[in-house]
Amino acid sequence: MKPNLKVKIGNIEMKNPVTVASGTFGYGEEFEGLTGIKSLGAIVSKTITLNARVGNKPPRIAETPAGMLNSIGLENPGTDKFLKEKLPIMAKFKIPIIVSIAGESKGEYKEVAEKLDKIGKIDGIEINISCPNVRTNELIAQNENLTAEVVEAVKSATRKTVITKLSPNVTNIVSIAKAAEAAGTDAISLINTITAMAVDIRKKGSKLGNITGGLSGPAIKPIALGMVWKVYHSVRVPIIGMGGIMDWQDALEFILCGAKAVMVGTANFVNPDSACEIIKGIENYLKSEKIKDIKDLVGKLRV
Amino acid sequence: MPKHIIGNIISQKELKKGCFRMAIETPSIAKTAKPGQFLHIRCGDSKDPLLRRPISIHKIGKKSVDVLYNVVGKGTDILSKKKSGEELDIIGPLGNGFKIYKNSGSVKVLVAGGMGVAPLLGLAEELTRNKTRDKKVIILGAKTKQHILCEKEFNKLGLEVHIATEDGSMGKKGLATDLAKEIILSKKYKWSEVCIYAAGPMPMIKALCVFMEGCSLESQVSLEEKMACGLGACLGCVVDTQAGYKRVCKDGPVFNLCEVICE
Repeated sequence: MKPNLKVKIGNIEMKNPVTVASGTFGYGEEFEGLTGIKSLGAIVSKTITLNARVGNKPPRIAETPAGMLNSIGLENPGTDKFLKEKLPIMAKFKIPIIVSIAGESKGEYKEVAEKLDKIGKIDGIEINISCPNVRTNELIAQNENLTAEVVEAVKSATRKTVITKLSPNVTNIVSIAKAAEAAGTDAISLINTITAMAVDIRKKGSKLGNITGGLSGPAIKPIALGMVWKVYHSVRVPIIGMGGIMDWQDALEFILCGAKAVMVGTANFVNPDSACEIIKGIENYLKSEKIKDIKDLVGKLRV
Repeated sequence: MPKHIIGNIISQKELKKGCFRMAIETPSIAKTAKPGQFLHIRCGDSKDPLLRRPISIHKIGKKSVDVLYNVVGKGTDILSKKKSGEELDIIGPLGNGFKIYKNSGSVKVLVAGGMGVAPLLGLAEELTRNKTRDKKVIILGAKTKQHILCEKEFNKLGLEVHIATEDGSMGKKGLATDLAKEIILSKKYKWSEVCIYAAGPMPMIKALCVFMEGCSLESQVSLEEKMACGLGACLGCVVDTQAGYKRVCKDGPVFNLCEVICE
């Protein structure tokens, strides 16, 4: 018997719990022909902002042991151009669309959310309050009050499902997750990248043009799992887990720790078909374990 | 459209110390590949090194493609230890490749700095296949004689070969760019008729675009940058151009010489 892979995040009905992490999949177009995008549970856009952003100075990538640093800096064409040029590409795949948004202020988040709210093709909004590459001072996701204010602003602007993406660069992830929940977020996604650096001792400089960047990949998976587990026991809203998921086994670890869905990020760069292979792997695992529904596995870590 | 395939290694040979030429059987990539495009190669199976390595297509055969690369780190070291008969996980062909204009600049000057020679051999083969009466010159520049590659192949193709080494151990002492300038000036080629095809380290490219100002607008350079996806999605490999940041993997790796910012 075919196990049930369907999950619901807010009002977003995903045919399976696997989607892609914002920024690692563009708007889908570059992966056409290399993976079956239509098989994904949903597609998530690269983060968009109200106005276009050129992004950070290169180099923007540095590889580290079992991981990579990036300092892209939210390069994107701006909301209007996104809606005109990129959204139609994403809509072709006929799977739920989640648009990741960021802003300089809560007003800007609200303005972008208002624009997206009018577009029927969009199913959900992920609030990126945790990109480590755009602000030199505190991240929104590092402050409970700011987190709550942005979530409230976005919620007041849209009836679409709102997912709040948290940063691991905090002293207490639980208090931030609770603040987002109390402010009305429909779901929480975590973790974004970890602020990090790599140094070139010959050039005596950083390997990144922006000096610091965000660490992703297998190196951060244990940290991500720990945070998903902690947050799962503190909030009632669904959790989308991510951080170094490379294969179906990794994905199942997140699900056992409490993630209702997962996002595949850096793995897309290594194998563009990763997310689809993970879906198949999860399905086969459920069959072999005789589990009828993926939901029966969420948070079922034996303790 | 790029393909994600498993190719078979036909041969692997160390041409000079630390420099390898690998032939890979991959009919589907060979069929559509163009000189100047690259392959995104998974060097090992483990999580470290994690990312693929972008490597220039060196030669294009009927059913195979060759790559030429230096061992510069963990990824290329693993790659260099692979033997003929082993499989290789490849995405390609990627990037735009060199544009070859018919009846363009009547003097084609290829400038290779170090491993920049890799994509230029495939280009030279393509240029000689189009039987034009263009004059074709290549300047091979490297640190020492030990680092000069493929001079015989370029000779065989009928290109006029010039060599520059930084230590003077072969050819003219100095940089490839200086030699290129000297040759163009001494032969009294018309500036506007000179079409440059260059590949090499960034300082060389920048020097070229400074003193080549005014040469054919069809002049092109192949650039390198650290890459993650190689497909144009992650925006990790951008370089600054006159038109803003552009992706080396998708908008390049070949750019018009006049686009590159020299500062």
